[in-house]
Amino acid sequence: MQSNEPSGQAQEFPERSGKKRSVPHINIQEQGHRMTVGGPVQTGTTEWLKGTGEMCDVVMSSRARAARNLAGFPFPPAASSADRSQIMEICRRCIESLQHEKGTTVRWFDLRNSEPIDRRLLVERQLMSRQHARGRYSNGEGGPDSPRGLAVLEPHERVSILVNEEDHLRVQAIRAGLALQDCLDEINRFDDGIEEVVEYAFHPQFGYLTACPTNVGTGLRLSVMVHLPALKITGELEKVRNAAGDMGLAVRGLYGEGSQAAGEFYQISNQVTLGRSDEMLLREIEREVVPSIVRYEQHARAQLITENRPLLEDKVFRSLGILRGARLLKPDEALEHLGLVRLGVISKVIQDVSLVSIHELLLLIQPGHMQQILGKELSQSERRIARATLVRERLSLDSK
Amino acid sequence: MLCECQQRQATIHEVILQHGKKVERHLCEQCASQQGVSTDPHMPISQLISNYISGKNLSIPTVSDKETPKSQSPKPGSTPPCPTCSMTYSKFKDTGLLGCPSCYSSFQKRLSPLIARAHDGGEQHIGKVPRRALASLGRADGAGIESLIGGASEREQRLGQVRDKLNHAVAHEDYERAAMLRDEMTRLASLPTSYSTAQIESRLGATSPALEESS
Repeated sequence: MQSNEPSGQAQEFPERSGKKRSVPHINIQEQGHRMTVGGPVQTGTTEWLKGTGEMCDVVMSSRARAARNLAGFPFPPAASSADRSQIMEICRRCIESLQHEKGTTVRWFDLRNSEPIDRRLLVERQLMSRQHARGRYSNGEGGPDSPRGLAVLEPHERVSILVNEEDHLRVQAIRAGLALQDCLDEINRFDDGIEEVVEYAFHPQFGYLTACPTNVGTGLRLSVMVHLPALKITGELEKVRNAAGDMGLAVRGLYGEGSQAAGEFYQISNQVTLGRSDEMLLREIEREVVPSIVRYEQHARAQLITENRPLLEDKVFRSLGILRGARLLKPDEALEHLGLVRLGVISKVIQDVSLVSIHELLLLIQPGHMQQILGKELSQSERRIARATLVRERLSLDSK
Repeated sequence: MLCECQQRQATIHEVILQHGKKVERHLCEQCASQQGVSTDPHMPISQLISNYISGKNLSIPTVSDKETPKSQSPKPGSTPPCPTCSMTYSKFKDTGLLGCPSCYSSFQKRLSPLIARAHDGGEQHIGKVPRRALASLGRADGAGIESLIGGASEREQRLGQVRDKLNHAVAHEDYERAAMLRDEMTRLASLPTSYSTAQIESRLGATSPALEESS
């Protein structure tokens, strides 16, 4: 999109009338880093499903996100629609002015005017939250037309910036494998770039201020997605859950908050954001907690292979049989069996399926992606047929 | 039943004694908070106790706040709405969301114990500080830059000293001094520990033009 403002000029945002505002320094230089605006959303594989990186036999992906708010504006859930529009415009122009690496482009989605299918795809690709797609805040304000946006760094989709979610800005970075440090470095680059332009809401005691006090302090959430099928089989998963809980870490399902952990994919993330520095948090999760969970899972896998191979083979080949034969597949069912087949492929029990296929299917069996591939809207029963067909074809392709 | 403003449903009903006469009032939440009628007289006992123990909330709200005549400003303890965005504390308790950055200062006393509980006892931000905030901390007083450079152990020592003074002030009910000391603790604790002198100087130098522009 072409900006309406003449390029090369500094833009001052006027003090708003009425209340005294403390937005002293919003001065955006247009530097010609244009964004691409609107769809299409990519549908091919994405960063978090690449299946590469450190400890990638167990760790699917790492993610970090920082919550930031502009000083002098109400938080989005309490802001008027006009305020949200103004905030969105400031943030959009600010993101537009950022430098980013060569070969990448920033795509901007104005979610007010976006197609529902685009919003769905963006959620399924983990580039934004469900709440952001709906536009409704947990206090009941907002709605589909609420001013909000999303910037995605393409083509690799490693960075996305949510504008006017619960906070003015949520900067997110994703990497395949265990790579929280890289995620954090990437976030800091964007965070520093944004801070060149705007002033953040910050409090000496509470740190970065956020709409919900559970996010204050660093405003940082680090999460790692792990695949723990062997611990499930050996019945030791509860120990991991308890241990994580004791360390103040949350354990969630594959598709984030409130989702079921089908397929034994789990997201482990910090809950505490105040009183612990970014480095401390990073050290704890990346060097201590996750490696020990990984070793635990690896140990359980090795044990299954050496001591209980028939059980392992039975489990994974049954699942493969279902995926290759089913004519109707529910989402959880598909996920459960894909999880076990992944275990079979990684332990080299299953030879004729590639990891790439499994990972792509994890993405493509979601409703939005199926709808996009088939080019039409699907009812629930149609989706079950389409899902089974997609999985069957993909897995038989591998065996040839 | 409608509120006195005739615009919204009255949700707060109170009976007060004024000059020996019984007066009934029916207000909506907004009018109630504007008029300083506490909408939240029933603070959980656990919070009362934790506030008392931590010495954070130096005045304890009581049910007698309800009898505050509307002409008087609210007694310390009832929480007035945020002057910037008019968010009320009771609305925050319903939704879990604050209205604007100033809410943190407006409700600081009541938020502090709540936040500490949510963060496993964490009360003080440690870690990244926005460059502009860092610069203003450095400029606030001459000692600012020195304490920035000071290592973690030195900082801990100074924090300990201030903490002792604070406890002493609270014990002697010198709340004005206590507030000053608390601010000083906050400032000390928020200073990063891992910056080298050169880093700080370059950071301060890099941001100063922006600051001058904005002031």
